[in-house]
This record gives sequence, structure tokens and C-alpha cells, in this order.
Amino acid sequence: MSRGAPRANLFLLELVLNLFVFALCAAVCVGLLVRAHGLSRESGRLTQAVYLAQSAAEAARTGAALPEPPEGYEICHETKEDGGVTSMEIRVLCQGRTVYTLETAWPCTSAGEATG
Amino acid sequence: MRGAEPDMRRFYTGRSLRSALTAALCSLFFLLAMGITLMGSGVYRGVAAAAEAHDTQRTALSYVINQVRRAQQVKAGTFGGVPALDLDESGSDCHTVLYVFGGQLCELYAERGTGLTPEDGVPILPLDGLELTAEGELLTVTAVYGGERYSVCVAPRTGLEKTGEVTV
Repeated sequence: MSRGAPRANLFLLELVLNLFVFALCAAVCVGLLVRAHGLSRESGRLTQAVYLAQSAAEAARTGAALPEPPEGYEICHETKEDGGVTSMEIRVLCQGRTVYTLETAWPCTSAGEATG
Repeated sequence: MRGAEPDMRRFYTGRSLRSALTAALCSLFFLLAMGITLMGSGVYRGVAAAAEAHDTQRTALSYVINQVRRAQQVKAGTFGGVPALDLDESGSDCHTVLYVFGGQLCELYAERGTGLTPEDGVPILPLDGLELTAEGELLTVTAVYGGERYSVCVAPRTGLEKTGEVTV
């Protein structure tokens, strides 16, 4: 009668400790999964931003209007002319945060190669 | 003998409490394990699908843009009713046609006048759709895959022409 109780208490203690260790591992795993999800979203944003910057550079070189960015994205650009060369800095922002920056330049007089 | 009865009762009450606690802890452990497994597999599936979609679209767009940049003459039209790019090479009777057919980005490299159809193209990679918009010197290529769309503009250095049906 008295031998059964301490053994049951020990079993309970072991179970609680196991649960604690498992919860700790689970918290680490959840953190990793959340980070993986965030990185995946960031990768999508970066891909979109690279294409937007590239499209803006091509449009600017031909003198066309800059492309309409998708919802949540914004294109900011700064153009300078110096020594017969037009240089442009294109920044793509997603929800107010700069995701990608592209610098490009081409000769002012004739259509030339844009350099990224 | 009279004091033994409450002791027995306390012993049985304690035992049933311990059993209930053990069962509760085991259930918690099981629920936590199931929750983590389900959440983990869901997030993994989502991340893997998104990575695959981005990779496919990136590869398709890069491939199309590079083909446009190296071509001597670029025409945007249709081939068998689907949007297609007709890319000419210098000093050759052959041309390359890029289009989406049967859920695949296809390439058809052939001499003109062979009468080939979209079925004869070589599938390169899976893609749901390819949209082409020609405005002035600017060609906008949109790749559609897995419900997502990525667009990129390119100004072919040798000029851009709009054409109707591409003749192979």
C-alpha cells in the first residue's frame, strides 16, 4: 500500500519532465517553421521587386511610362544627367520598406545598353 | 481496526487522482504532438509550394527574356490561338517560337514553311499561361503559375513587331 504511492509519484514526475522537454523542442520547431514561412514570403517579395526594378529600367530607357506596380509595392526613382550619361536609381518598396535597389545608366543622346 | 477505513479511502482517492492526472498529461502530450505535426506539415507544404512556384516563374521569365535579348528580330503574336513569340536568328531560315501549350512552356525551333503545329513543340517547364503585351518598343511578358503572376518588361534592342498568327 505504501510502496505504490512513491512509484506513481515518480512516474508522474517523469511524465511532467517529458512534457516540459517536448514543449521546449516544440517551441524551437515552431520558431523555425515561422522563420521558414517568413523567408519564403520575403523571397516572393524580392522576386517581384527585382522584376519591377528591371521593368522600370527597361521602360525608362525607352522613354515609356514606368510599369504599374502591384498592390503593396511602390517604385521610387531618381534620375541624374551628367557628362552625356543618364543615370537612374530605382528603389522598389513593399509596404514602405525598401526591398530592392537598382542603379542603371545609358547614354543621353542615343539609345544604349542599360547597365544594372 | 476502526482507523484503517479512512486510510483506505484516502489511499483510493489519491490513486484515482494520480490516474486522472496521468491521463490528463498523456492527453496533453498527444494533443501537443499532433498539433505540432499538423502545423509543421502545413507550413512545410506551403513553403515548398511557394518555392516551387517562384522557381518555375523565375526560370520561365528568365528563359523567355534571354531568348528575346539574343534574337535578331522579335515578333509578338499568336500560334494556334495562344500568345506566342516569334524569334528570328540572323543568317538562318530557322526561327524559334515560344508559347504555352498543354500547361507547358514550349519551344519550337524549325525552318519556316514546315507547317508544324503547337503540338510539335518541345516542352521546357510547366507553366499555366504566358501573356504578351507589346506597346511601342516595350514587350511585357507575364508568367502565370499556381495562381500567381509575375510580369517583366523588356525592350528588344533590335525592335519589336506585332504580328497576327505566327507561321511556321
